[in-house]
Amino acid sequence: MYRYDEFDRRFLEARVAQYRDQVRRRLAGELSEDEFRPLRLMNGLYLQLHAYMLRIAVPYGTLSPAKLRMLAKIARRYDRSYGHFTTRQNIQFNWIKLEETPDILAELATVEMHGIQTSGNCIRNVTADPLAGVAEDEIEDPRPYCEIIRQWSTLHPEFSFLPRKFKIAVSGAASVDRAAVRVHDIGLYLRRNEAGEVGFEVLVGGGLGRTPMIAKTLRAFLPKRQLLPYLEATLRVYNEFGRRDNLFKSRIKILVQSLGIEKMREAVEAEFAAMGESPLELPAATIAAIAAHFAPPAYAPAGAADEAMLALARAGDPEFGRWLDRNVVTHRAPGYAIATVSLKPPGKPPGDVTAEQMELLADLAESFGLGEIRVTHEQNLVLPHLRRGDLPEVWRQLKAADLGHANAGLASDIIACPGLDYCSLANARSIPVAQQLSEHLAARDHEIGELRIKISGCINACGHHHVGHIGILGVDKNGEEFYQITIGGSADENAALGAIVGPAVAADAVTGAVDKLIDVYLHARRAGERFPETYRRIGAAPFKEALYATH
Amino acid sequence: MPLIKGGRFVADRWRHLDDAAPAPEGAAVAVSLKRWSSERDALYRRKGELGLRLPNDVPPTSLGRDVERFALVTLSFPRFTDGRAYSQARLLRTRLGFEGELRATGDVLRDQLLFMRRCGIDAFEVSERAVAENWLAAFEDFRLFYQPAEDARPWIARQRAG
Amino acid sequence: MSLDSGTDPGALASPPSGELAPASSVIRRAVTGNRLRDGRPVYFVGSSRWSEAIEEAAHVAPNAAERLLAEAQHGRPHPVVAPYLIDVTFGEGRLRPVGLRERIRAFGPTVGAGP
Repeated sequence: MYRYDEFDRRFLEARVAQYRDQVRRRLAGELSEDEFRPLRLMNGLYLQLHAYMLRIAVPYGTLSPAKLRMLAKIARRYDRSYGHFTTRQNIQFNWIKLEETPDILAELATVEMHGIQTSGNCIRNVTADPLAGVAEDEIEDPRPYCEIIRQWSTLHPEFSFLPRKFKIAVSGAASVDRAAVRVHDIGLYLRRNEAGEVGFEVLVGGGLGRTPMIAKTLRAFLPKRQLLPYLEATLRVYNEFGRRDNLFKSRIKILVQSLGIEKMREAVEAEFAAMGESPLELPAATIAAIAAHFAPPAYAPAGAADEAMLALARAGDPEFGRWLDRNVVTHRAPGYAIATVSLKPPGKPPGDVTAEQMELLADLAESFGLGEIRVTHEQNLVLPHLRRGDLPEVWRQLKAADLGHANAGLASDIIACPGLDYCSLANARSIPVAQQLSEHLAARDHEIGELRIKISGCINACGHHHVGHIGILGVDKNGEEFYQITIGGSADENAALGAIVGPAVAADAVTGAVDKLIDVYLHARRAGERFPETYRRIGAAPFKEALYATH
Repeated sequence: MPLIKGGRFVADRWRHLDDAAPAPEGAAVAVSLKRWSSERDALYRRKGELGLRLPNDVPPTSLGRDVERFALVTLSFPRFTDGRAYSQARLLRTRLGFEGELRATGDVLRDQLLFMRRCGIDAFEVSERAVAENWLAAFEDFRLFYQPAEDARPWIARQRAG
Repeated sequence: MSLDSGTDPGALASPPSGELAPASSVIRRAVTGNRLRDGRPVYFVGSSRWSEAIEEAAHVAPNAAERLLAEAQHGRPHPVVAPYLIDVTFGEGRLRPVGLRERIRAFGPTVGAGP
């Protein structure tokens, strides 16, 4: 993974010093809240219902044991001993005090961490496929490009006061999308052209929220060398022409929609051409220098003894066998495996991790995982470099810490935003709905198979409900919590926005409604069909009827 | 209003004329875009430096070669969160080769000064607070940068290449 | 406890002792905000004082609300971010905010802290 050099360290020190002074000036009344707000947001600090919330960047979802241990320390010393992983691969702490944030950022800086640009109208955390570098189906590892974009976008003087936030995701897999690329402001797919060269397909204008949209292709093939100048051209067009009069119409997706993709492309290509030769072009040596940080670790050769032990463990414990089948996928290195650590114990708040659990995970990553652990955008973690022979022991320790649930991608693996229990933007609670649903559905997990349920507590859609197979949106109807249900969404390479099934239902009717939708799916599905495929085949009518028809 | 230029507070030698005010010979006067559009020839014939107030929703490239006529272009930050003028500044410097004074006006606050300078703005109209609160120090908040911009400061690629 | 400002009966913060608590249908108004230094929800008590406990909030009849808000906004630097008015009422003799969002602010998340 990327390791800071002297430049990066000194930069971060300067950033902490700048922020410390900004907090001093705010507490002394030299800065008004209006003046201070964008400054704290650009260091990841929100003011929520109960306290400040700090969103710490986990660049492209990659963590080391040292970083995870520091997060545990922060959780204990400055928060209530737990953290929450988000749908953008970051981590959030909910009980932060403003006056302690300079010290928190100083401590984070010692392990190369920060909250830079995790909020604000600027370029946010660049996210990636959580299986980057280890999946079998990859053209190329996207993470070096995420790191290159991260550096270029850090305190970019021209793009720190955009019309609105700007989110970029990168995927390197050949034909699948595990990074929800198509619902980002800019999405990048690594692609191979006819000449066999690897470059990028650049997509623009995806996003969720009030007006969800799937991104469109801006440039079918962009040579790697031109990545940063092209991004700069796109951001410049957005900065100049994005709407600033209406908060709900300020994302680049609205600009793309109003201009149309052809005119948008014309504008970007014109700016790109006018830029001419740019100092931002990436020579192969620069790319290689960054990519060297992401070189595969020294994998040990596969052992026959490993497989024998694994088979024995599987035979001896059906629960382990279920975890193996559900949470573990094949690694590109023989003898290795990729394991999803579920942060969704049925009945518990999704995506939350205690300080103790963080420390255990750091130990596991260090002892068994070649020092790496990753965050997915589905609020789970991944140990990307496990020896197959170590899987039984790793699972044993995970299970003891309530991290061993075999529900990756199943119905009880629910994504939920913090909702009205924490967030000042929310209209309704989402965590209790997730808790109730996951507890109820856990018993049916393996019967149902893959099912992506996503819950948001307001239209900002931080729970990504638009792209859930079943999406749930909390709304406020005359002071009561109601939930609007959508079906058929998908965040993968066949990205689609869910369709509303009907009027919102009361809080106590959600579980029953989801049950009915699942029953329709189970009844109608053909072998191997996941929910979105069944939905596309049979349409919304059978689902609507099951929920709303009176008999 | 205090004016920062060259790292210190300076007097403003420019007269900022509204559309009806006469433009005296010899004086350095800045006019609105509207006035420049309608009185261009007269303004060019006048002796004395000419400046332009550029609204933040006008593409600088629309000025074309005329940009060479101006010794001053003032840019507008109607609210400090409206960042369009950052792009205008960069386009004026790089695309149009503007070499005169590029001045930030409007909601110009301490914590954006360095971003503005990096985009090529070299003069800053600020509020009275700037003196008491020592806003000049803001230009030194960072000495290291990850990307090239319009100022001469080294950025990471050059740093790492050694 | 009562406010410093004035003898307006509408400005009394709590019913005189010996009388029945007002019915829960009676809506009063109070001022809240997040404390600047730590973000905690706090309620204006009076005399530039703020409390984390809603029971200590000063509350007034709706027609006196703007005056209460104006009083709460005195003080520089102000210790509270963006104070605003909320509806409060009495439930079982205790002062409670109206609405789920304000109840969550006053009493905490409805879910257990963390996993």
